[in-house]
Amino acid sequence: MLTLYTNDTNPAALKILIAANFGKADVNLKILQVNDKSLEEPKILPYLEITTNRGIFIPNAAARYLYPPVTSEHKCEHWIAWESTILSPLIIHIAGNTKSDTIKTSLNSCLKYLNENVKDRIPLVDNAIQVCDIIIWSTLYPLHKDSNLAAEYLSEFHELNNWMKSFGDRKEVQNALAKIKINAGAGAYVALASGARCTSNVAVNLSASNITQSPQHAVEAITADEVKAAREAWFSDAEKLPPPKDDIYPVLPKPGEKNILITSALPYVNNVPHLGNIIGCVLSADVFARFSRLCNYNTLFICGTDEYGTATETKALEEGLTPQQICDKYFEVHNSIYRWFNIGFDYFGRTTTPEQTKTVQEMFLALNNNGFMQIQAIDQLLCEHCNRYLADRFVEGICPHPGCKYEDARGDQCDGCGKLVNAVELINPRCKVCSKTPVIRNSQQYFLDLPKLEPLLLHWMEKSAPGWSHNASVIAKSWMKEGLKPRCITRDLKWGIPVPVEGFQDKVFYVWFDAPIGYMSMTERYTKQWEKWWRPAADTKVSLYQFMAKDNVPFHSVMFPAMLLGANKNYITVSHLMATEYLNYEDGKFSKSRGIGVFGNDAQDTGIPSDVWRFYLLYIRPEGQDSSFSWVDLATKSTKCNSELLNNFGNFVNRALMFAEKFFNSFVPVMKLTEEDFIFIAREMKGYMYERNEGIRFFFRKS
Amino acid sequence: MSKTVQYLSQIAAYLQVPSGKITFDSFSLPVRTHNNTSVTGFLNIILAYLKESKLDVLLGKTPEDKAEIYQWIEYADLYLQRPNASQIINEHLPRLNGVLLKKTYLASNKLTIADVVLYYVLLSVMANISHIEKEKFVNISRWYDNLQQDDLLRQGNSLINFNTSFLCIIAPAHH
Repeated sequence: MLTLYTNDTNPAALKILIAANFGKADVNLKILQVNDKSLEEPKILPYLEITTNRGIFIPNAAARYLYPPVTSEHKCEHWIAWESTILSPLIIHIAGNTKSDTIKTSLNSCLKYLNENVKDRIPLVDNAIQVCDIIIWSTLYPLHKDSNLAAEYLSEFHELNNWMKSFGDRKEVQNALAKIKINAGAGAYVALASGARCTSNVAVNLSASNITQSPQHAVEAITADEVKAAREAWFSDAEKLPPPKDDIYPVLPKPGEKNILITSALPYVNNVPHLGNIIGCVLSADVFARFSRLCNYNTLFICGTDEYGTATETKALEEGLTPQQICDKYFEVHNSIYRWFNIGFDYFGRTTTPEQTKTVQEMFLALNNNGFMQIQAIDQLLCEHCNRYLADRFVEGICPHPGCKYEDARGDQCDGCGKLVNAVELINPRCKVCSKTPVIRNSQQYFLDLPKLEPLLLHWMEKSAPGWSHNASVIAKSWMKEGLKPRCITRDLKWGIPVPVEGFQDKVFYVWFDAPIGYMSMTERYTKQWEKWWRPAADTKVSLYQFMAKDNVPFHSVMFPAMLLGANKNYITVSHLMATEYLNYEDGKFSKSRGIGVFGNDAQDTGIPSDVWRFYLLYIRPEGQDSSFSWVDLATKSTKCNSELLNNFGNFVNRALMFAEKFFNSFVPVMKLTEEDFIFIAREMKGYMYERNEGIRFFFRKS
Repeated sequence: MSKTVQYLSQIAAYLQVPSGKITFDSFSLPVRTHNNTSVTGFLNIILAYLKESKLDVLLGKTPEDKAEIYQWIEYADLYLQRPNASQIINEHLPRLNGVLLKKTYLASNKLTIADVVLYYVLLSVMANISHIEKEKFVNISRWYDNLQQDDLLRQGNSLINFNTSFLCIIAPAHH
């Protein structure tokens, strides 16, 4: 006994039932929801079950099985191919209320073609009703039944109309219609599309040469439930919306509510920020934080300056100040720049605090106790002339990785190939300060045992990576593929957090160990209840969003999570790692030393308001690939600001107001929405949700 | 559309029949002309090839076999020809993977033209997915690896590596 599973009002199911009647087969009908849990892959409806293990999920194949072509099989197949790849997708688009004239014209030419072939109500092939007639009739039935669509598309095609009527009168068809009710118009085609799991992939096969591509994103067809939701939302009261939350201090996560913790990568205190740093980190995070607060989520946005390390030490010597004084001075520079840019941090801190020292040392001891630290004697580069051990950023040489040979590879990372480097491995190393060749001294250091943490890290990454931006997961995956090695986390330097172990007190922690912990200590400076965010209770879900440029990804996707997991104290880890590509300056790179680019106060000094800078930077945010800052773009008439805000969005608002004034006496009239309108609303909302990643550009396309 | 031509040529080559001249009609349906006869439609053309070849065993024996085969060819035509690789990977491979959980071949229990068609349609996708994805779609990997062992089917394309020893160790460590 055959069973046909289908969603309600699906014309594909009708076609199968009619075929069963012609083929004199008995078919049981069962109606289900499209997302019924009992459905097994491929989960396409309608599904004709032949035995428990066998069935057909493509409607035309099922119809053919029930009522095989009697004669001229290839002609039948030709019609069936025409229906499935040409007619059906067009009709689904039309019913989805497309505004595309090309699609409307194409449907028109299809119907004309059909009209020519059904003269005198004769069946399509060899004067006898075959499965192709059934298939095409069933697909057209909802269109024919809907008075508006029929008037628009079928009115001039008399032969076709007659054919539809006479075929519909047949007892086999009437019997099938008695079993399953098919709605008119859009309702039926929505069911057809959602049962077939239609996406933009089943694209309209237009014969016109200017084929308009269906949208790039795969928005699924709108289900009847979504239309219902759109209708309810439209009619619900604005008063029913939750009131905006009060500004309270401190912001703390609450159980049962959405809690969002946001960080942007700590800028190194010594480097004056340029536009690339700003869009890559703080500005992107700021926009997200504002959005999050608007959505009434408990939102905390933390950032600060990363202050330890030799660069500060060296600068201090140069300027005749102490490292702490240098940090104080440059911290103010960062703070004022971000304040001018209107970055709404909940707290902007520093790493030179007692809380940071305490937390870093505790983290180290926890990792050590859990067996994730090793001690190794390593070679370090000592510049005898400057009498200091050279930190990685103070050594340059030829990159040791095979095939690279980049001459200015830095002591921690090669800018040529992007791979991590150990300073001692550089070929022909030279001290950046005095250019003399440093000597190698042997010294004991602590290493974070990343290989031991690798299984834990992989397991975690598998779960977390789907929430990351695409470039971040690509970078992280390639790191893991290469295999992890132990990373040295201590150094023989003076300005840093001392290692709390006997015999190592004159060594300090390497900047990449202490910097990410800065997020935690700065939260602690914000509120004593910081652990509610970083070690949330079981009933409180906190999502950590981390914003950075792509060169920081390895540290935030591998090192820091490895530390947090290895400490085994239930620290939260990043769920959404958002990395940007590089922002270039007029197609070249920003360079402070060469005076190329917009730095620090330069933006403020132009007199252009910060909102304009914010808008422009967000518009050119380098998401999928590098982008370029251009003065011409920013400043002249044909630019983003004028053309997008004024001519596009501004114009749209103006047009809407003029329209209301002209036709409705400046009142917004009472609206009566039809089914199509609700489908449209539901689709736009779905597209909006999906397209958020595209950012601002999506909205401008719409207006 | 050029992909359609490519798939049909590959299928014809496997069946050792001439692919004929393939054009597209005003509706963009593929048309194959050979010896002054034409057939229109992806499935139709493949059926014509099968008739001309000596391999019509690939159509299965029972009507149920035939129906399943037709279904898969239509599925490939409707759903797999137009989307780009990432859409295929995200939307269609999970579905196919679920179906292949309990099957060795797509239709009936031996090789049919359905497997042949999907082998060619999915070739470029399968050649380029990552090891993690091959592990994720383990049933597809098993089915595909089985198919590609047939030299006639593979037609000189290189073997795709489904070796699982490249895969990461997923088990977490417990403390």
